[in-house]
Formats: sequence, structure tokens, C-alpha cells
Amino acid sequence: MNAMLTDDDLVRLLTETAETYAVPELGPSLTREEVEDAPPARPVHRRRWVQASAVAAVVAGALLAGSLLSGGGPATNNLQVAPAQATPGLIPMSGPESMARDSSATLAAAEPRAPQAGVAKAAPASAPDGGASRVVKSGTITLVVDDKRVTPTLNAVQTAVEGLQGYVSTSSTQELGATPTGTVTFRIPAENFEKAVARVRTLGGVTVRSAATSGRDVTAQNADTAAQLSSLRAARNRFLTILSRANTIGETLTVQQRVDDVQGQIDRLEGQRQLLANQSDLSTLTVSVSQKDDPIVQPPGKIEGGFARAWRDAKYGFSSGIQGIVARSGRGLLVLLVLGVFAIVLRLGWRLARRRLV
Amino acid sequence: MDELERWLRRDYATAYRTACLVLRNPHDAEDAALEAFLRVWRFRDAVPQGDARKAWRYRVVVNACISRIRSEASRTGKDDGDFGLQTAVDPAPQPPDAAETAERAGDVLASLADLPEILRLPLVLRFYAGLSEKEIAVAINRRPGTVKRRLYDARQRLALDPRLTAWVDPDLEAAR
Repeated sequence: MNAMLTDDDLVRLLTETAETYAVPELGPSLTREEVEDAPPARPVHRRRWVQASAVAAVVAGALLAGSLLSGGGPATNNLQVAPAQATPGLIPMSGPESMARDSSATLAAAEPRAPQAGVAKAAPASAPDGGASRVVKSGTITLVVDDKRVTPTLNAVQTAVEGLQGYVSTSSTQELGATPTGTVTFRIPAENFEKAVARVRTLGGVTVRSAATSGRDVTAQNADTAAQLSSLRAARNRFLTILSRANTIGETLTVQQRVDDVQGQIDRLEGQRQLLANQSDLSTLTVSVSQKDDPIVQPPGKIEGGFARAWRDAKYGFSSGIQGIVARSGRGLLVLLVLGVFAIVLRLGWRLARRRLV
Repeated sequence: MDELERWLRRDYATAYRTACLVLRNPHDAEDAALEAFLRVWRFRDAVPQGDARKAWRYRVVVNACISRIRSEASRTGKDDGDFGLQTAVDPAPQPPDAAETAERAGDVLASLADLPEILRLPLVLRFYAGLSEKEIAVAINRRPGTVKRRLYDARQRLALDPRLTAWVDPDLEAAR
């Protein structure tokens, strides 16, 4: 019986049922009166340019937001590298080769002779919150001097650094045939680090073959360590309280073991914190001095000309620009993704609303 | 006779009766038809030409009906009732044929009332308004595959409904 209901039956039944509804005699005329008074609405497709402008504005805003977020994020790659001066007879050190990867320290003061392309501006050394920030700074400078000037230059460097409350941490000298070299590592109060770099670079009779500095913000790491220490100390105090109430040897041994464990962790974190404090309070500067005729610094072939150097700088500028775009595109894409999801939700809502309204 | 007049003469009755089958309330259907024609006329510059024109117009009718259903549901807190069953049938004494027609219409409307809105709409558009599955897809803003599945579900449900199968003409069946 059920299979007997066909499509034709449905058409017939629905048509007959629909025809039981008499069409209102005044319906068309009333509709006409209403319709005639209604002004035509602007078609949606005429506002396409508005939608296109909105999309363009959203994309531009996303890219801008991504760039701003990248600039305001954790300090990374804000490094400063001072390429060597174009001194005939020396191997030129370009920026990328000597680029430190985790730098955020300011070294603007150490830039009196670094006009070359590819030198990035450094960020401020300390955070805006005052003394709470901790930055571990380090740097390496390689100097080239004339014959017989290695030792006097090392002495001059030491004098210059010690005038800024720095001291020699390690030192070494080598003599390969008739070409002596020397390397000295200084520990310098962080606030004098930039001045020390500037002094070393401006010493008389020296040529800076390469200079690289870096800064690593350890403020968050320091704060994290302090928080862990506070928590562990509280735990140790609780265990000590429990230990004082222990009645049996088993209880005493168990709790004592816990106390020892926590104390071990506290000691380890204390060591880390002291190391961080030491590293951030005292910057490290390594100065290497060698003679011009040192075979290590001899040019491998012909001396690079101005055009070749310009071409190299252009290549470096191009690659660093691409790196910058890629680095910023990550956050920009994320913002675009979020906006895209938001737009889809908005679109669905709009379609639903239109379905109700149209 | 202007364009508006021709349009009303041609489409008003079908649009109104489509709304009646969906809403099962002639007063609501009249309001929905008026609203639909008003919107189509206001947006006439945006109405697509060609084959999509008919589907687009029914889409506006469908949307007007859905708006009525939802506003009624939000007002009463329940889906549309069977008010239309009473208003569709003239309470005055009727000759036997008219009485049978009214009874059959009542059964059909009751059967339609048992269908959920998502099945009732494509069913009415397909078997009363005569739209193709593609046109129904435009009218209810769903994919053709969805329309095909809903039509299948609606037919399956109605095929099991004795209120409809009881009205299948045995003579026609025999002829088939």
C-alpha cells in the first residue's frame, strides 16, 4: 500500500490541497500598492568595491599588526655587527658571517666607524621597567696592527678596559714564526661595555678586522628561577615543620630525604641565578690582536674592489631584507588566519541574517 | 499592463499557495507573499536573469516563510501548529465533493504538518511549485545533493503515511 504513493500522486494531492486555498481577491492589488511605493534598493553587487576595499584594509591591517607584533616581541636578532673597514691586505669580514644570533644589546655607542650597509641598529640595553632587566652581553673584536705592535696594543687595550673597571679574565699569546698574536678576555661592568668596545675600536694604530657583539635577555629566565626558588624554599620549610613533628625513625628518614631533595634543587637554582647575575653584571669582551703579515689575515687572491664590495653589500642587503620579511610574515599570517576564521564566522552569520531578512 | 502587473498576475497565486502549504495559515501566507513580492521588487535590479530567476524568486518566498515560522516559534515557543487545517476548510455546509476535497486537504495538510520544516520546504517546491532539484537548491540555499536527500527522506515518510495513501485513486492505480 505504501509503495503506491507515487510522485504523480504527490503532485496531485498537493495541487488539490493548494487549490483549496482561495487566492485573496485583494491580494495582488494590495501587493501592488505596497510595491509601487517602495523605492528600489541598491543591488548588492554594486557595493563590491566596498567589500574589496574592506578586504584590502583587513589584509593591510593584518600585515601591519604582524610587523608591529614582530617588532614588539621578544628581543631576537637585534644584533649589531661592525664589519671590518676596507683595509687593503685584509680579509674583509662581512656582516652575515660574524652575525650573532641571540643579541639584543645596544651597541650604538660602539658604532663610530661602522657606516657600512647591513649594520643593524641595536635595541635599548635595559628594559623600560628599570633595573629589573638582565642582559648578558658579550663581544669579540679582532684587531690588526703593524709589525712589533701586538704586545703594545694588548697593553693599550688592557689599560683602556681597566680604566672602565674591567679586568682580565683570561689571556693568551702565540707566536707562529715571526707573527705573534694575542687574545685577551675581559670582564667589564655591563654599564661600561659599550664604552669599552668603543675605546678598543678607536685605539691608535689599529685596524678593526671584525667586531661582533651580542646581548641575551635573561630577565624572564632570572624571574623564573627566582619564582622556583621561592616555591622550593616554601616547600622546604613545610617539610622542616613536618620533620620536627615526626615521631618514628621511618617518618624522619622519609621527610629528611624530601628535605634533602628540595635543598639540592634550591642549591642548583641558586647556582644558576648567581651565574646569570654574574654574566649580566659583568660583560665579556674578547680582543684578539694580530700582525698584518699574519698569514691568517692575508688575502687569498686579489683585493676586492669597490664595485665587488658594493655588489656583496647589495646581496647581503637583499638577503637580510628577505629574512626580515619572512621573520615578520609568521605573525602576519597568524593574524590573517585568525581574521580569516573571524570573517568566515561573520559571513555565515551574515548569510543567516540575510536568510531571515531577504 | 506594466511589468509589475504581469508579474503579479502570473506568479502571485502560485507564490501565495506555496506559502499556504508551507505555513498552513492563509493569513500568514498572504503576509509572506506580500513581503516576498515587496522584496523582489525592491531588489529587482539584483535579480538574476535566465533560468535562475524563478529559483531566486522562490528563494525570497521561502525566506519570507521561514521568517514567519521562526517569529511564530519564538513568540509561542513552539513550531507552527495546525491552525491552517481549520482555516483552509470552509466551516459552512458543503456538497459531497467539496466535503471530500476538504477532508483530503485536511489529511494532506496534517501529513505535511508532521514533516519537519527542512523536509516540507523542498517537498512543496518540488511537487507543487514544480521546481527542479537544482532550482530548489538555489531556493533553500543548500547543495543539490542535500536537496536530493531531503526529497528522498520526505517521500519515504509520506509513503508510510496512511492519511495520504488512503487518497490514492484505485482506478488510477489499476490503470498504472
